[in-house]
Amino acid sequence: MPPRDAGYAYAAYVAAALIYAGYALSIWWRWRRVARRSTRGPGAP
Amino acid sequence: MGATSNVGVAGHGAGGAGGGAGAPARDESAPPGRDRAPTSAPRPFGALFWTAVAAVGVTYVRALAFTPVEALQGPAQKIFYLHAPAAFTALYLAFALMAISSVLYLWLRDPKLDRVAACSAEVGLAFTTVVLITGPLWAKPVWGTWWSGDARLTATLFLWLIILGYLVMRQAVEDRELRARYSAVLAILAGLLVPFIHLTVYLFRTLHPQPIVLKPSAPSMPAEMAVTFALAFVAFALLFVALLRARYRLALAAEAREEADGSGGPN
Amino acid sequence: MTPVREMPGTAGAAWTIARKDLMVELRTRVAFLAAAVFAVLAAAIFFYAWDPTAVSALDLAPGVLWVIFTFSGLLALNRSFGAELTDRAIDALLVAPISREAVFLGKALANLIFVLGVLVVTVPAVVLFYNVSMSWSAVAALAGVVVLAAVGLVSVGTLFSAMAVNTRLAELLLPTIALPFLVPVVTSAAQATVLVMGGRPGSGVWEWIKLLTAFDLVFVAACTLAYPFTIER
Repeated sequence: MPPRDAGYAYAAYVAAALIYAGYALSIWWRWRRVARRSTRGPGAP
Repeated sequence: MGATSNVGVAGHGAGGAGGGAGAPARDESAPPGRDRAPTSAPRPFGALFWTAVAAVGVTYVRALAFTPVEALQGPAQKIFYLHAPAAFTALYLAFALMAISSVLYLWLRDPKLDRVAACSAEVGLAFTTVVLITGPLWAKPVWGTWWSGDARLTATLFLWLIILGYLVMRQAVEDRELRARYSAVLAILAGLLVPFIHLTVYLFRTLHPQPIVLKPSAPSMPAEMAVTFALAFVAFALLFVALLRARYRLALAAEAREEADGSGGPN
Repeated sequence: MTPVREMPGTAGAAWTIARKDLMVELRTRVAFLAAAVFAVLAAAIFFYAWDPTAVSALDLAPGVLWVIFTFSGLLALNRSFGAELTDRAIDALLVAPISREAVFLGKALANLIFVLGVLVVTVPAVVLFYNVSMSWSAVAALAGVVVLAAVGLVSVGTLFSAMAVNTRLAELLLPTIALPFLVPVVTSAAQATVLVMGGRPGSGVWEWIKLLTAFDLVFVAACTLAYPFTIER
């Protein structure tokens, strides 16, 4: 009897989207922090 | 070279989504235009990234809404449109690139190669994480258990741990050249280890009595499913390339900053 | 040969370095006692955490043996290059007119003898605690597995120990990077031990021993060749 529950599939699709998006956001966030710090010149906190 | 950069590696290097401790969280009050103007570093996300996002979006819609439900496994089979491309990308693109550029680094000593290795390791960690999460989500409805000790999934878990160890080690070495050499050595040995891990988990399963399980191989797939599969492979490979490029640009920007305030920095 | 001090060959130099490490260890006995006491204590703790009515001794003993092997081995390896950091003693080794491969092989040889020494304590402790009865041929087979596994552990462990001491995490890093590499070693050794202790050796044991041997060959060679790359030029 095939399992009819689609909940697992939706959970997997949501989880994958969250991981990829979260990772992309982390790159963006880190890049912004680096870019902002370099505008303040050396010795900035 | 940048041997004396004592600034720490909070923003640079690895660490996944969590990031490092580094600078205290600053609010977003600064005017947006000021942020990036003086950096010559290219912004991480360009047309390539948005193309990849669109391709993944089309894959999602097609897989969920326009691909028939498989008769034997039910809707859970659709998890494979995520799982298989992520596994392929993690092992044959990310991990292979990491190992190959590490070999080339020890030969040519070009910092670019070290950067490629580090970036593909981190992007590969994201894809491996997807493999490890989607695998059990498929196994639960189809096999009735979250973790069955399946050979390929277990091997992926160890691959995940190896990449994590690699990234932890990169965080722990400050000298850039030393870090590059150590990382290259570790990545090459990891490349040699992967076949052994596959052999081990394979032997473990064949020499042990195991429940007979449904093999997720699909020799004769209907055309609609095959097209979705092909689309998914292309979309996620594209996503890998886009994320790798973004991560590479982040590494460039971080290194430029490190060099800029390297000598006069605190600590 | 005349008694002029020639440049020693790789094997000779490696043996000299191994003898130096073992001599230091023999005079202090600190690390060996620590590792041996750890091994016996761990065996005792596993024994008292065990419910004999639920799990049979033969099901548990191999796992216990190889878990103790892994962690006492890592304990031993941490010390290997840590000792060379004092007064930058490693520099003296590296300027010596011997190949870097010989330095690595010497350190690895000393570690191998150390780890085997700890195993000489661990294996009888586990066999006694779990009351495993083995024939002499089983003992010989187990000894072979022990030596093969120790070579595998020591080859990657020595290299990673040399790298870990130069990082900010120092000895904390060693388990993080070494443990995934011990998966094939410990799995094969434990599975072979299950078959040997249970008195059903057969072709299964050979499969695992072949895997262990292949691992040893590949990683002894790879780590020896990789070690010079971890040294600053």
